[in-house]
Amino acid sequence: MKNNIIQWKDIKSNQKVATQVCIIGTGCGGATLGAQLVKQGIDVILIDQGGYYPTAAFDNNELNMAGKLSGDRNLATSSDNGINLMYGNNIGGASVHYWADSYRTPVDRLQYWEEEFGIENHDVNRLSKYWDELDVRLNVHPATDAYLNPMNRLVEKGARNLGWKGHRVPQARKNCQKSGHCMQGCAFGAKQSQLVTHIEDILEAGGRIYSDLKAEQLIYKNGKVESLRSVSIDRPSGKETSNYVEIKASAFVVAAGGYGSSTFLLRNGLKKQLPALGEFIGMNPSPIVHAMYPWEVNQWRNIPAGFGIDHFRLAEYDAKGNYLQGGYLLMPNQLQPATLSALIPVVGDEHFNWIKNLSNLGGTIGWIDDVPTELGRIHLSGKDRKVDYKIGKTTSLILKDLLRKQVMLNFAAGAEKVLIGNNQATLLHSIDDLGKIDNLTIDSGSLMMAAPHPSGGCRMGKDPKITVTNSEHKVHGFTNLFVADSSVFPTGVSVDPSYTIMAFSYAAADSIAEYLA
Amino acid sequence: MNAAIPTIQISRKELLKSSLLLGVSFSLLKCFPASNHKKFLILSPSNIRTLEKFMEAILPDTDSMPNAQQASVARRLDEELYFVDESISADFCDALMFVEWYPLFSDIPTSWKKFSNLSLAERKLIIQETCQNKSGIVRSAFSNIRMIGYLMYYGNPTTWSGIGYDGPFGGFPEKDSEQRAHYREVIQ
Repeated sequence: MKNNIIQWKDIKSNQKVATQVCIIGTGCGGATLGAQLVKQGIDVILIDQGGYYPTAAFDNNELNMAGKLSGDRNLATSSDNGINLMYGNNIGGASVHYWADSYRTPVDRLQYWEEEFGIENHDVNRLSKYWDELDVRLNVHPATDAYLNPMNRLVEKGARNLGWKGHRVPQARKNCQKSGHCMQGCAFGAKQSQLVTHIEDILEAGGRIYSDLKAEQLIYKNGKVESLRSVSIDRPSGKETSNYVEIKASAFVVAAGGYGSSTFLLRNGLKKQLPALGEFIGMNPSPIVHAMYPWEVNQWRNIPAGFGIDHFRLAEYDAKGNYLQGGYLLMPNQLQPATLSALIPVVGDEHFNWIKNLSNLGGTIGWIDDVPTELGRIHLSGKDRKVDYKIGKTTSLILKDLLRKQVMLNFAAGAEKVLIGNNQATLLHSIDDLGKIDNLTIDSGSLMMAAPHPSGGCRMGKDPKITVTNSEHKVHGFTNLFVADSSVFPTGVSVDPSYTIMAFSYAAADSIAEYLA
Repeated sequence: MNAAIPTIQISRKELLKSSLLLGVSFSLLKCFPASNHKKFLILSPSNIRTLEKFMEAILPDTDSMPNAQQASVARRLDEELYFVDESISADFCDALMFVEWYPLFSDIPTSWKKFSNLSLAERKLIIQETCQNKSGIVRSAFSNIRMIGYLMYYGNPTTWSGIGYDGPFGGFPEKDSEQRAHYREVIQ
């Protein structure tokens, strides 16, 4: 099985290889797709520009693991430096550093995509069959009491006190050791990432996986891709080598993730042919608040989000279309100390007063459901990728409402003081200070936000003027080029997208198998 | 943070002046590399000095915690920046240079000196005030250095006992990636 992983040190000269399906990317989209194809006896090659780090290479160290697993070591930002972009760069993709939340796509969102964008054959009946299978393979189950750390229990208590609807978050785990290192990759292999599930399935079935191999150029003629030219990366230096691998295949799939897939196709010069390429980018911007509790919360251990609040998942508007409230999920936060300290927006002794009480320092995070009319875009400036995401008017209102609800939640859970993660470092000593939020300026860079859930850029739909792929995941104007990851989503999913990505990859596998037949 | 702290704005003229000055100084620094140039791959000696003076101003005033040098902030940051996209590392170095020259053009009442020559109290003042600056450029430069500085500092094991962190679960020994080993080799 190990022989099927080809790493940088195995590529010492230019190579030519052939397969039935070549998949660019090994995260939730690519690995799930590959596993489905090999199950049907279809030969696959998956490539990833990141390294192959088996679980035995994990050490739970925050900076070390970001270096192994995270794209640009988590230091990339949106064009205006306002939002931190998070994505994977390893075999298994972002699933290796994600929180293992495994939500089925809400029915209202699937219906919206069908009605608004003409997406076909991705309805809840079809996808449910896939999720049922995935539930077994990834051992998905609601978080149980034993896996709620004190911060999770406080969020559950706060929601109950406020009368807000919440739920135990479905988890992809087996024999979890409660380490709290989901974002560092899980050294116990308990989190059921793609690395320990579908990647293993692919290798067992004889599929080949190239790590440290960067997809560069699609060679195509008359709408048919003939081969992919890819360059080997020297893993120690991170630099490109002079060794190329040319892959010939009957079908090619771009599954390089929400930030990667449209970037790759843009670099292949397809913008003119596909005007919607790189457009309609969502990213679930995630503002945080810190809260000091009079007891230990030890938020850095056990699972990150065992209890979530979906009471405000959908935004509410009045009859005139004015925003009222909602449009986000609310979760307990979990960060190890380096990242946590970076997000405390004060300095000096004031900063130390927060971080030195680490055991009592908790907080929450919210993922906003990107507003469909205020999405961002990816474009190129020379060879550099730029991710533009401006905070629009409605987005600003949603963010402010989300901060308000996070403050209410933490005080309802017993917090002594709450600090908003904004550049103004807004400090609230009681719920009576809630009015301070009304006066906040919410614009680009005013909130410290991460964006771990990109979507769009290769939007799926009927109209080639405003979409990039059709409902068979096929790129408009091509006969054998497909996309299978979150970049095909027309808008955000309104919940963690990983399970939607996987179910869509099942659908993509059916389309590709049909094409090959 | 005190909401009464006045915010400042950098005018377009000031920004142009500072940009011009930054360009000249950048060229000069390129022409005269410092003696320990080989030891760092991304950060220049000037960058390191600015960073360490910045860290001194944002770290707690207590003997119970290590300083930035003891926590290897510049060294680890240099390593991290070596492996990210060049546009990211270049932006960060530019931000350090911006911070270094910013006091000469700002309205904040400090001595007319570069950042690393200001007194500790003046550096603290300028960092406090720029955190809330209305100019996105100013805020972004100072804020990014602050955030990444803390990330490197509290990512270092020497800081953990001082904040009650029991370390990575399981107490595994650090397992170096090929990149960590490569960096160590290259800086020799």
